[in-house]
Amino acid sequence: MNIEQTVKRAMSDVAELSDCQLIETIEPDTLLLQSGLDSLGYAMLVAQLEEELGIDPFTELAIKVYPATFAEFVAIYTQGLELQND
Amino acid sequence: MMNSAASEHCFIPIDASHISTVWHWRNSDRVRANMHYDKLITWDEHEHWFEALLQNIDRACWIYCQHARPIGVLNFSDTQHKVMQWGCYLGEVNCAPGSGLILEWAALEYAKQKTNCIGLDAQVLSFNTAALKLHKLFDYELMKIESGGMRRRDEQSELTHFDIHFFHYAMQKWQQHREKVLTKLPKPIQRGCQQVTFLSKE
Repeated sequence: MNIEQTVKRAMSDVAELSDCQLIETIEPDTLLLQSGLDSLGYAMLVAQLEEELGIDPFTELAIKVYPATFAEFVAIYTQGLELQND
Repeated sequence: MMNSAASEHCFIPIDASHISTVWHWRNSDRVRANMHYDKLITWDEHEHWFEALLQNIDRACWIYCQHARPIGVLNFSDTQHKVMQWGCYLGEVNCAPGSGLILEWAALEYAKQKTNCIGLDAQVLSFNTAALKLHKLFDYELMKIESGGMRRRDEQSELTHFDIHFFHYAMQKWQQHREKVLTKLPKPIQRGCQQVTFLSKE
């Protein structure tokens, strides 16, 4: 499972746990705020991905401008995992 | 919590330089949708409102900055009273994950550490499920529910009825519960809450 699939699956899990309704199709340019996850769901997603992938790129990469879209969100995790493997 | 060093989650007092940014935020569909007043706001209306806000000693309005970038508003009214009212919104779409939780935390911490108030009140419209969930998670007390009237959520939808939920948080309770609430939050948010800083005007 690649990172994009991992994130999508985690979003689905978190949506169920946090009583959120994800939109039907999440595209690369889908705005995270319009994905169906709310603030609590989004926070739970980052926590779940930290457990699964072992990184919190938002802390570790000292992100200055946060992602707005799904593709930008995935790119941050990709970058974080690459750095971890170096 | 209060110091002069910038942090990832920093609150600065609103000033004249924010007038344009706040006008754009107040007029965004996403912010208007969850406000009591959901109509578009003209520049003149905004200018009058903004001037009054800056002059009003019974209000305290803070701009939420992430890495020095303004992203939203944390607003208190009735600050000269024993019970303050608060509200907030995120104006930008690309914010740190869980920024709404940071705002919830910051509101209670500000009230506890920077004021002498004994409680914090908040109102949430019934369709704003994200805010309702946050208030429940933080253990706000639901005081009453009143009819809010009718509203169209967007141009395509029909008019539907909504309620107003009135919440209260006693500061004494927050003093006792804050650590417990913190442990309920996802770890990245716990770290963020510990970085919350309110900068003074000086």
